[in-house]
Amino acid sequence: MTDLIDRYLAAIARELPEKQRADITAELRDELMSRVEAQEDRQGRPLSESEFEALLLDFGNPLVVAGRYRRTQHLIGPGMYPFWWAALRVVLLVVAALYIALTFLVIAGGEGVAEAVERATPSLVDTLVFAFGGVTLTCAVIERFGGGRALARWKPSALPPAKGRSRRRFDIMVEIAMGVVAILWWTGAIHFQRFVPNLWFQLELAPIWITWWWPILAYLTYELAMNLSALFQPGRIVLNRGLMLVRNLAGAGILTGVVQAGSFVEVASATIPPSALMQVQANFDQGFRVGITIAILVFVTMAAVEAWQLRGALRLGAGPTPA
Amino acid sequence: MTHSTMPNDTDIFETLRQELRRGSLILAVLGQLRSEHYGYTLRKALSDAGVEIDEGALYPMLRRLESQGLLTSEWREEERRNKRFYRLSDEGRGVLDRLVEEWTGLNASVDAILRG
Repeated sequence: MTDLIDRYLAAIARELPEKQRADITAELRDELMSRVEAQEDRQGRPLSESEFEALLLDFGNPLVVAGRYRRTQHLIGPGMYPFWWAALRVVLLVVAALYIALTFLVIAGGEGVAEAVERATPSLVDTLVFAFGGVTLTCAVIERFGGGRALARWKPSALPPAKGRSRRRFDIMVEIAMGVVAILWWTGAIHFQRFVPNLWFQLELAPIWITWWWPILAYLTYELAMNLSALFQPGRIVLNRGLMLVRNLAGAGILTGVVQAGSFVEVASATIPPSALMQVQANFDQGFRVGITIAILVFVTMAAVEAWQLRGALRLGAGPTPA
Repeated sequence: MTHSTMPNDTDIFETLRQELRRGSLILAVLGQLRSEHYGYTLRKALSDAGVEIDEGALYPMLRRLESQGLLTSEWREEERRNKRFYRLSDEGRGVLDRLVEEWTGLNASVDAILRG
């Protein structure tokens, strides 16, 4: 019987902090012995082996008994859980948007892109496990060091609109992913080869795009920042609407500059005669001119809508003014 | 017992019962420790008074209350064995008085609601 008590207490002791180990097990030993003595007094005879085992079973699993002495009883407590869940949803949406963009890249890019993507990115399962672990660990650390209160602070004025006035989070995520891909493509970090199927001519961007290279890069970067702001500060309606208004005006301005050029792409072919090539070139340029003009009109219309809604938001005081 | 014998209902009742008891157990332990006890006799005294408490919950609770300064303890030999005796500290006495006041007020309010 003593041997079983020693083994039981040793199993508990292994799970206890070293400083408290001897103290706690001494107290538990006394409790166990007191219970044994009380039961023996009631029965008028020593406990049998099976009765003693039943007593230990009733006392509890060593891991559970020791676990109750720990200061931390949970990894993510009820106070932190809503933040953990909200962060996990955002991270999972980012992962989803990223892998959608990567799939798009693999489909649109050449074999080289597919290989590069495969080399550079872990499998979706690995990423999901890593994301889950990362969010959980971060929240556990914040909770452990008492950061939960800071997280719980909030401003009623920063609440997102009740309905219809804020962009859907998934749409913003997709735009962010597409924005990253666009910047990578524009800066030459990645190349697309399958946008145009293997035709009898090659397409290159005309020099006008090189002239506007920096403004377009600035536009893409600004758009990314705007989407990040909309994602992380959905309640700052005036700020976000203001940013979108500027984005739409900038888009219209850049395209107005680009459309002044006569040529937007350069068509080259070794197989068709120069006169036919010129006709193809003219068709492409005409198509681009129409497309860019429509895009300018869309930007201007969107800017007008944003300006109107911004005016309404400012009147209603629906959010804090831009910082 | 008026609750249903359906396992689900029993589970719900059991969870609610534990939630209801959790806070009052600390009050009972602090109240009982106005006189000195070691773990086993404390549990027995509580049980005799109609408050059952699992030792797996009692001992960690005693440690926590001691680390919060509400209890004092000392090891002493009794009945040929070393035992750890707990007692309410001065600070614990003050906290207990305030908790009893809170408990009495809450009890009266809930009672009034239930009698409706």
